[in-house]
Amino acid sequence: MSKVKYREIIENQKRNITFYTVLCVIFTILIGAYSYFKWVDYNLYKESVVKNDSLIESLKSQSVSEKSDYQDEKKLFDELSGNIDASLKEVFPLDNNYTELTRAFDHFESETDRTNSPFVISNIEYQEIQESEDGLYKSLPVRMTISSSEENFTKFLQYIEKSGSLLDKVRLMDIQSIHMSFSENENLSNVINFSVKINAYYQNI
Amino acid sequence: MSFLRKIREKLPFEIGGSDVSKLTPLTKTEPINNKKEENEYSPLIESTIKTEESTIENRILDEAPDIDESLLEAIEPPKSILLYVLKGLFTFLVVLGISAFLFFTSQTSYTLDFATNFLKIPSVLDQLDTKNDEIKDLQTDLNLHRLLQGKFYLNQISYYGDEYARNYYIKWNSTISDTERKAAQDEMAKLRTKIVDAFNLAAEKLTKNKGIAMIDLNVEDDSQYEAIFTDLLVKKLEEKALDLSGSENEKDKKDYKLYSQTVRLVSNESLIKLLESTDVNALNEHEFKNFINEFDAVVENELSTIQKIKEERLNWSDIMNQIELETTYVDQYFSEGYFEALGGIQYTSYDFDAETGEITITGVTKRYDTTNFTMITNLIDQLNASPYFTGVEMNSFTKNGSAEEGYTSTLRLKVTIQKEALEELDAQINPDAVPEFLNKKPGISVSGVKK
Repeated sequence: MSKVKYREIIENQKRNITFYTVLCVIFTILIGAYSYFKWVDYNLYKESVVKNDSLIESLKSQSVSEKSDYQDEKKLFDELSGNIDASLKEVFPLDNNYTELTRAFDHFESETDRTNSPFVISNIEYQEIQESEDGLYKSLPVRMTISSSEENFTKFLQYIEKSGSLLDKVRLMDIQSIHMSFSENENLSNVINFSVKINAYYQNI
Repeated sequence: MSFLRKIREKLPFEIGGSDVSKLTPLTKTEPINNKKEENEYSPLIESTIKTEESTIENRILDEAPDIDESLLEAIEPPKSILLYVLKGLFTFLVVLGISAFLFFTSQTSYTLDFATNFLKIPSVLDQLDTKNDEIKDLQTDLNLHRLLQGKFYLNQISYYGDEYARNYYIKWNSTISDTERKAAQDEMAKLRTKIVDAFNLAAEKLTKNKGIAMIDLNVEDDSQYEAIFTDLLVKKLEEKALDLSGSENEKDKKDYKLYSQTVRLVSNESLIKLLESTDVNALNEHEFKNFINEFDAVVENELSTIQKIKEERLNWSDIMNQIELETTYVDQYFSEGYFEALGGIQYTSYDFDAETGEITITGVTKRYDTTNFTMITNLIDQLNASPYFTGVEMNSFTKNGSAEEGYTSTLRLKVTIQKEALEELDAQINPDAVPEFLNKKPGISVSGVKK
């Protein structure tokens, strides 16, 4: 081996040492930084797993408690829902249910009509069904002709105005028009003849 | 240095004691041309030079042999241990780097899931996901039961609210007896307590956050958790409803309805806002009734439709009572049977039309002092002054009769109902006061002069 080649090898060795030293330093830094940041994430996940364990325990107890509260009140809940549903069948039925409505008018008449304070429905006429603009409900128009004392006339108005209450279970209605005319004798006898147009409402399903 | 040592070993003569490295290189000119310097060479070198210059007989040494450098080919420089160490260290670092990458990638990302799942290598991220799924299930279950309870309390508010509104109508309807109105007022107080309790419980159950912040690589922002848990809740309710949809069992039908209605509450922001922002204890009676209306409107069920219809309808009994009340200010004996004897006002027909909000009143006035027209115009002014009515007018006045039989004049009035004014008036009601209509004013004499 010539002196030159020998020296070249020595120089190469030196260069390699420098190169590998630099490479090792760079790799150490890179691996160190990568591992550090990844370790932070890893550790975060590990800690989260531990935290989740305690959260799960807490949620389990809350869930059991909430479920138990619900089960305790479920009976009352069903009872109330049942009452509401039963009332809605009467107050805001699924169809026009005009037969039930006719019976309700008849029932009111029999409850109200007295010899000294009459209330007599002489005519009931159901008209064409209407649908609301927003499509939420339908109405069944009813025209009735009634002879009544003033007191019962007011009771009748109140009956319609209070209708739709879940407690009373009276079909939801409102008065569209009233026509009343009195003769001089009628004023004296305190009997009012009137015709009334009522809308009876029901659900649009 | 070892190289020179090797050369010295190859030489055919001894170089005693002298260090080869200290030899000064020779030039052919220097020893000949400079005699003074000749003495500076060592005796060995001097002898060698002489041998070179002399004839063969005088030489004591043969010619100097050529150095065969090819022999040096086999000689390699020594290996650097440091380089070996560095190379080893580098290899170790590469292996460490790859190991670290594989470890952290498998533990903190889903990239190597195909391999870790196949090799069944546990991953902290998988553990976290499993725990997160468990939390999601538990929290959704918790949200579900809270919501179902909330729905129960909302139903209570609707139910008792409906009863409250009915009693409110009774209390403030001037045509209903005082006994009934007092009973209604007492009932309203009881109902209010029940509604407030139900409201507070509903607010407690329904205004809680549905989401829980977790560490999840698929979620970029914590604010997304509310939507994630809301979706899970909706999905769970829909699943429960779907499971019961085909059942003919009565209980299943009820539960199906419950889940179907409850799912609509989940995204009902208006309701949550109402629950959060309303201080029910601070509301007066009228505000409380309005709150019930508002509540029914945002809950969106059959009761809200009922409430909407109720809000639209007119209380004709109250309106008729108001007409009679205004009339008594003009004719204090109105409707008391003194029309023939004392004169006054007698209505012969009413036409009420809710669609147009108009009332047509026809009647007759009777006077013995010829002031029929004054009585009619007083009535017009009185009705126009009432907050209930507006636009009352009559353009044509006719009168006939005599002083003995009395003068009569027909009237035909068109009255428009002021519904908006009625609502405003309703808002001004003092809930603690006795309803105004009970304190009737003394009225106005038949002569038409206001007292």
